[in-house]
Amino acid sequence: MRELVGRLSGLDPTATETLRVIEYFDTLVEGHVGLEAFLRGAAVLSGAPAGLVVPERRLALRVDAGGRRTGARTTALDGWSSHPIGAGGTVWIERDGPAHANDRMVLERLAMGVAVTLDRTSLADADVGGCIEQLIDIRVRLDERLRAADRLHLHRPVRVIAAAPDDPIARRAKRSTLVSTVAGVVFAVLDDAEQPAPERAGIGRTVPPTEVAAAWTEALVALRLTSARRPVVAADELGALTVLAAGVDAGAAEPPDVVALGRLVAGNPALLDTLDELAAHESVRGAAAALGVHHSTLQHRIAAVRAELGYDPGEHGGRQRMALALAVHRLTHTRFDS
Amino acid sequence: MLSPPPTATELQMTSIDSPPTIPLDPELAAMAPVLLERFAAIQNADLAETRVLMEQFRVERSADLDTSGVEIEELTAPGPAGDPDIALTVVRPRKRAAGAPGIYSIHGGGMIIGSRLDSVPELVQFATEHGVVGVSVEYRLAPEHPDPAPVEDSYAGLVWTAAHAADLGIDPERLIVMGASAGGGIAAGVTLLARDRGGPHLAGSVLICPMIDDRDATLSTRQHEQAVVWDRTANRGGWDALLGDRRGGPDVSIYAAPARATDLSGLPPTFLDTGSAEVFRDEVVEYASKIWAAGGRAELHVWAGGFHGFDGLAAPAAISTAAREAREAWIRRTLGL
Repeated sequence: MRELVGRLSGLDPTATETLRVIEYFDTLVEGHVGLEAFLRGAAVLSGAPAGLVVPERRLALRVDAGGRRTGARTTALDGWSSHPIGAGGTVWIERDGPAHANDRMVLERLAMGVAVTLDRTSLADADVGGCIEQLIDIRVRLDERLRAADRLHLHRPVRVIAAAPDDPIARRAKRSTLVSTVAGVVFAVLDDAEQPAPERAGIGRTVPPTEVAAAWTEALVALRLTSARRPVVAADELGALTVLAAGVDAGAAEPPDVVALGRLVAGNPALLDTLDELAAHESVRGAAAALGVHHSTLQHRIAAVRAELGYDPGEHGGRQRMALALAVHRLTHTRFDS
Repeated sequence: MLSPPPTATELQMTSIDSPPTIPLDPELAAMAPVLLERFAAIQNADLAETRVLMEQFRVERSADLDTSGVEIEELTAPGPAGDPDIALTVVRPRKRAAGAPGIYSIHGGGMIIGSRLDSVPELVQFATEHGVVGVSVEYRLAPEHPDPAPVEDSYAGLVWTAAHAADLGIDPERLIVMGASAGGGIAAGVTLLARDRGGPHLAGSVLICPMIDDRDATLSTRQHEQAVVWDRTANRGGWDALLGDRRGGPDVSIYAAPARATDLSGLPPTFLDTGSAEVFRDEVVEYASKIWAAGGRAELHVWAGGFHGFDGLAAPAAISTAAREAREAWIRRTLGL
């Protein structure tokens, strides 16, 4: 059977087999095939090579009469039947001589299929930024957020990330946009958990579209708690700090510990690193080793700030107070204005 | 042979006992109606008319075949003992080299239609591109000539080809058998005969969507009461023509229906392919599994959403190209091309 009936080669060039053409392309649209399959359909049905260019997408594609992909052309020649598609593109059939009865219909359906496919396969035409902004904004109604998720073709869980505005990985992500936040302008990134994470980022949870906005709130808190020492913070490590962040964002007055810390680091930004290490280690010795200084040097630095802070950050209880003050300080003062 | 795709109503009427059907590859689904229309004449034809129509399609298809790189010769070989001689068509590369690899080709057609000339385009391609010597056999067709005529004729032609390998310019160590559909089933049968009768050495066996099981009992056959090509009814008809009352019964040899073989050890490297949306899917998969179970070498491709013979019938589709390339790559590896 297989070799007996030979190849599929075109419609009757004289008859108008409109329904056949429509059915063919409708089936391809339903099957979510790629652009090449649409071009191949046009070539197979017309028995002539077919091509397309979409300059805006830097797309050029061509198949020969047998449906094989072949060297692309940048334009159709005069005399070939062609049809415009959105975004300044063109599709054509490379028939020398008079057009066949079905060529116009084939081109119309090809153009329609290509347009639908471009719309489906690429997010370039969709307002990606606008859709992400809608989806991550807890104040937007849920049904509108889900509509935005639809336009982003998001139907599965997605990882929600807040990243620094100069982060190269965030900029290259398929779904990312700069958004204005309490911490300044930052990247909102929606990606798969397998993707490499940005370098300076708050990594949120991986959640379905309904929970993206909540996950974004946490991711942004995590980003605001990052530092040079700890450039990536995962939202699921935040614990009770989310409550602290909610208080800060609600406009709670800065407690004296935070005011004092702010005064200290304002005059000596490098001190933040010292206090970070101190808060992160069990002992002064450990912190000193991490900082690469002698522990007596660190003891001197502690002694210098003890009076201003009103407690001893070298001691256990003091370290905890300082860690909280550092967190609130960062939540209040971390800004990513570029 | 070719049947119209089921209508929505027909699908709804399928009883709840019917297993779910398998969606076609989208490009194949688009091409299927065009195919069916092109070959609409066959749908209502009887066997004699179908054979005439198929011959017309073959001639039409061969019209623009470029044979400039080959020599085509018609030869006659003795048939099985007491039976008529058989015709062989030999396709040789014009630039001949001694000891070329050989492909012994067995055409398809449900055991009831087709001719050795159907394989010529493919053999011309192998000769032109790879310097392969091709031999295609004219076996007698059912129902006029039921089992074992097709497989025994094909085996007799193979024995003769192997014995005359030097004359034909074939390296006897690099001879493979190849067939599609019914031809694939016969190729499997011939391979088993060569094993069991101590016949010619085969370097490989290429079974393309092969028809190997007369028992009509697999899930894939029940899934294809309706099909673009070669549905369950057509399949029963083909086996009826070949086996008559013996179809599905105890008196059918493994050479007629190789799926019945329980021991598939001692076979040459075997290539098998099939579509997931065809009657033959499960018998082909099981055949490959039995070769592996016997410690043999088999390569199996099941093409998702492929109907019977898709790679030839809907040749331009991406999945068809992929299927042909996979097969050709295996043949090149096996023959050292």
